[in-house]
Amino acid sequence: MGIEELKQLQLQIIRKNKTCNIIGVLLFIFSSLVLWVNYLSKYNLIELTIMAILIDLVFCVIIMAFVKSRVNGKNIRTFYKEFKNVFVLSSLQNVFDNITYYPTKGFSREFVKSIGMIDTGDSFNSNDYISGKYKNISFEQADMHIQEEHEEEDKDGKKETVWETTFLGRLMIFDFNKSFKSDIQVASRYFSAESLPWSKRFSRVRMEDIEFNNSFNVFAESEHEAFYILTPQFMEKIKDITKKLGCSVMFCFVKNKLHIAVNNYEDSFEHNVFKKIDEKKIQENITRDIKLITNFVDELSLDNNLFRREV
Amino acid sequence: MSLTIILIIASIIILIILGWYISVSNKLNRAVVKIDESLSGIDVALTKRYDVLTKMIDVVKAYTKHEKETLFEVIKLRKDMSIQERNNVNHVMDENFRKINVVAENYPELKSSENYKTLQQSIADVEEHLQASRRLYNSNVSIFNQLLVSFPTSSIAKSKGLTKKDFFEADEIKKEDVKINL
Repeated sequence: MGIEELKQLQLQIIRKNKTCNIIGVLLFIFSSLVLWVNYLSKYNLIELTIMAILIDLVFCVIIMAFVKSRVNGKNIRTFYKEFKNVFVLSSLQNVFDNITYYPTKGFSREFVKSIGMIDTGDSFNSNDYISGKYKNISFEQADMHIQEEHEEEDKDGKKETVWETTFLGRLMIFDFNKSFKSDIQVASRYFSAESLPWSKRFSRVRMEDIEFNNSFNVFAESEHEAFYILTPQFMEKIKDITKKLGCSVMFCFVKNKLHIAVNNYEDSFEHNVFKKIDEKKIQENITRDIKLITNFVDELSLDNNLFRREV
Repeated sequence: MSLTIILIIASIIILIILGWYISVSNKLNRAVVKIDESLSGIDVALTKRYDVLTKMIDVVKAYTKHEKETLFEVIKLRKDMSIQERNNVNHVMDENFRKINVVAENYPELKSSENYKTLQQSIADVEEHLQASRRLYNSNVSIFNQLLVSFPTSSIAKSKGLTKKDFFEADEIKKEDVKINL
């Protein structure tokens, strides 16, 4: 499918959606009139009539949502799939080598749990899996959405379930250019201790950089390895890149790989089906999403292979 | 106030002072242990650096055997060296490494040999480990020395006969070691 066909599909979706909305409004007006006439003439109670109309509104909304999903559901799924093929995949292929892209697949909860860097919460979703090479550095990444379930009491003492997002962003895994034996975690201080399983396993390491200690918590099995990986230059780079991102970031060094979790509350490589297809704007957004990957390789100099081999 | 109450208050004060003394004393002991641990890290890194440099010198000598011998300084690693002695050993290694680089500049075939390249990568990694050990050691020494000068910890440290520790110096030559062009 090309861009023009994608635009045609979007027009078709919008048209069908509009038709559904008009039918929905007409259905609501008609049913409300019927209720108004019947209830008011029978019971002469205006409160009861208004209540019936409100219930009617809820019913109409539910019916319309069902009808829309039947009429447009398949088209919307096709749109998202084709959008990613037309715009995202081609952009990824321009920047990376050996690209693999699964728009609907991501990291499994078990895999993220096995890394142990972040609590996977009560609800876990992951998509937009990408793997490939940039400057000969292998990487994989996916979007991640983690939620915790809470019970909250309202003013009347009624309990209700609330889903709180604890992580919405990306997990990226890069080949690291230094060999190390033990695990190290560097987490922005915005991450709560409860969401960091490592804080219970390892002791906190204080680096010689006071500003770094104020911005990040470092947990490590071995203090020496923490100092080996976190050189003064590397700490500066971490501080710079985190400042530029303006959100909480976590760096985990596990099994000679660098795992980076960026909690930027963004769902990458997405486009709203009802939003106009502006190729330039879309391309800018995708480039920005791709740059998040390439910036880590460039700014942390992960392609520096000085330490890659040992005698 | 009865004598019993005075005795109870005095006992509580003594217990608080004793508890505080023990906790500060343990804190100082832990700081000393951490310094000793990080010092052993420096020794490991120095030994590794010595081994790789020795291998490099052997490779250099093999390439320059028909010319007059380059004089590398003799390095003697001992157990229980003082920080000053460790610093001196490290300076000698810096000097030898500088000489190796000078010789390599005159022998392009040596510089391009796989063996030499591998050893250069190795020395860069060893250097990073030495820097890490040095920074960890100096960080621990800094914390310990700060404890020694802050009152009232200083008085307990004095009673235990603890004195300020020396830092393991960094110098510019070592920092340059990692900037090897391969």
